[in-house]
Amino acid sequence: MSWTDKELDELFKEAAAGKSFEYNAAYFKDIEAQLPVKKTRRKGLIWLWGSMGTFLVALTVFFLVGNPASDHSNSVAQTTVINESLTGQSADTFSKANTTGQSELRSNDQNVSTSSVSSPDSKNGTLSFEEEPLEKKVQHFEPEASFEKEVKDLAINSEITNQTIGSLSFNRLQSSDLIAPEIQSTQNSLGSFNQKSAKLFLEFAGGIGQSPINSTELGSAKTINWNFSAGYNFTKNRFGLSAGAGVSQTHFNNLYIKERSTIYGFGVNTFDNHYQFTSVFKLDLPLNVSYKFGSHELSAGWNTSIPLFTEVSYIELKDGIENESGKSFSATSPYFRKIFLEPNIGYRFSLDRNWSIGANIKAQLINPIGSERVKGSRSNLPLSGQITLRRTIDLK
Amino acid sequence: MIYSHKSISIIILVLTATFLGACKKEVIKDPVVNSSPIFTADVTLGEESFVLEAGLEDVFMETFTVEHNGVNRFSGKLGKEDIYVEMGVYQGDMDMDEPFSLKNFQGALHFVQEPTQPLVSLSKEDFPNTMSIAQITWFVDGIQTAVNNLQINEPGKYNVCAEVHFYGGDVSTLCNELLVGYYTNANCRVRHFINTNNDLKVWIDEESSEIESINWYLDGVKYSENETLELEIDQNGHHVLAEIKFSNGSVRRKTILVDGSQSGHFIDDFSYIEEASTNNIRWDYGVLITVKKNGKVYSTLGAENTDSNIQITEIKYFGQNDQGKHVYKCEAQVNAVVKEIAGSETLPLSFTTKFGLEMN
Repeated sequence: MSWTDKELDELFKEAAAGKSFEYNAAYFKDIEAQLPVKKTRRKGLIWLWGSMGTFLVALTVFFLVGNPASDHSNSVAQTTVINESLTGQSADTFSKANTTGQSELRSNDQNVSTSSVSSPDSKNGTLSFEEEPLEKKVQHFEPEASFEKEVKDLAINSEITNQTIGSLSFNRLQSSDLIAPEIQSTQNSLGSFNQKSAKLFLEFAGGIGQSPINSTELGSAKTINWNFSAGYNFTKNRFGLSAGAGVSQTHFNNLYIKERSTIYGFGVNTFDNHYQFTSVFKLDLPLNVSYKFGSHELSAGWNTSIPLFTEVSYIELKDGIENESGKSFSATSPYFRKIFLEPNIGYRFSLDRNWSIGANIKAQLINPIGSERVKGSRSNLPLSGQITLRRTIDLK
Repeated sequence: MIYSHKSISIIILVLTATFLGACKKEVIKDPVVNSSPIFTADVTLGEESFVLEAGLEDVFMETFTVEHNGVNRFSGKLGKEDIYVEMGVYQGDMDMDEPFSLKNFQGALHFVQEPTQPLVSLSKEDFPNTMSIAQITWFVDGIQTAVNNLQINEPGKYNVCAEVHFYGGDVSTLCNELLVGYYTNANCRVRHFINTNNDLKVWIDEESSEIESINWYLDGVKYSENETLELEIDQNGHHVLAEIKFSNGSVRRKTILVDGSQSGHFIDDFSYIEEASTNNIRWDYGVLITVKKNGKVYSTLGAENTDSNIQITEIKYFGQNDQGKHVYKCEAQVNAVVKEIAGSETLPLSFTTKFGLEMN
């Protein structure tokens, strides 16, 4: 006779009943001792670099892989068109216009179009768009290479005629391309209610600043700096939040660090170390909030920088005799802090939809020279100013 | 304007490459940190107190090794020309295979005492064939020291040679190493016998510890590794060296001269005498302190330091000195008595110190 599963379960249940299993802490200690030791060394820096690397890799993959729009031959183009008429009304009227109408234009070989730009009313100079489906019209249109230019021109001059829509050999025509710059400006200044967007930005900045250390022998020192950064700018209504990453170089015209160390051993040795830092290259992680009104934008933020390497000449004298000297273009220096913290405020003016210029002022919250035995006076909150040029890229 | 996303990708790739390129960099060495004097001594000599700190007021910590009667004294001298404290520790366990290191030393240090009587006495009457010996000329470390009766008064490791003049004009020499006044972890005697057929048998006798291995050398050439050396020899005299390794790590070398002519012109191992030398005195890990103050030099050697003490609280490796020798930093508390070397003044000496001692 064989046991059934149920009978076996019952058998084990009965056998286990009444047995007590005492917890023995020694067992756990033994197991604990066998667990791998967790390394905590430089965890913060690893996370920081890891985050940066992940961000950059993600961004790269996004652009290289995640963007099908680069294929022009058989792609789908989306364009947002204004479906209410724009007359000689005030800008307010325009800004309140319903801009939700969408047209999906596909390449000609598929012969499908869900909507289309309608003919304008050229009599009174108004620009109007009809909602009526125009599949039939579109289906019979022949390709015309000058379409893009013509549509733009028409939109700018508000003289859209019964021009036919031909082959859609372009794929990135957007509503903004159909709107004249002066209208865009008005829209930007007044028409941002309830709008959300996320745009990539590339920013170049350059400026001058105070040196963190002023040598009593060589007088005041200055810095020249530039940085290039990229990131995303998220906007909602008038407020914006931008975050990114970049690289920067700060050039010092007069940054000398001199240290004297007295080392006891069998006797005593005096080490005089002289360092002339020419520049420091940093990894920047800017984070800013902004408020926009019209073409103007005020921003405040925080830049966290990590020194990557420095350009430095050095000489070490041991008891007055040269012991070591050299020059390095890519040295990490223990004389700089591991991290720089720079609060900043700025102003930016939009030149057009995509370009803006501005200025900002940064302060070094903590003096970037970490050594406590530097000769010379430290600058309190050394300031630097920069002129910025930003290119915004709409990823839609 | 239609923007090329590939351009953006290239820019980002360049940025990434920049970051990655920045990963491998030359590193400027860390700033040298100021330190305070490392080697110090806070000394009280008689009624006077003074402080010595290496690096201040021209005080220097000099480390060196003094070879005294063939034994290393690992030493340091803290001070300057007119005032200093010198301390040295004598080597111990010299018969051991492993090199001496004070760092691993677990026993107690003590002050070396000046012997009050000869530590070793050897005469021709101590040899079993004394009737065949006309004279023995003794050489210690290559220097002729005595005729017939040898006395060694100071502890040391000596190479003692007996130039034996036998009746009939034969002269033979036998050299052996003697550890006088120092402890040996193992000892033994080498015995030999030659029968009428000139069959030689040499063996180890009176071993104080278990023997691990023996290497036998005949006239400087390795002959066997057997427990005993057995061979037929010619009519000449031959040197037999036994290199004995004991289980406790001690290694001893003992030489005898065998006489193949069987005319009694042999020389037995006389190094057994060293055992008796440690009955009253032992300088293993013994400390010798010398102090100079007010133009007078004092030493612990001439004073009674039976009840004195020296406590080593910590020994750490410090680094290499200018000669490339390893130096250990010893923290110690010393209470002793010193006697003026050039006079008879005796003073109590106490000091706490962080001292440098050179080691091999």
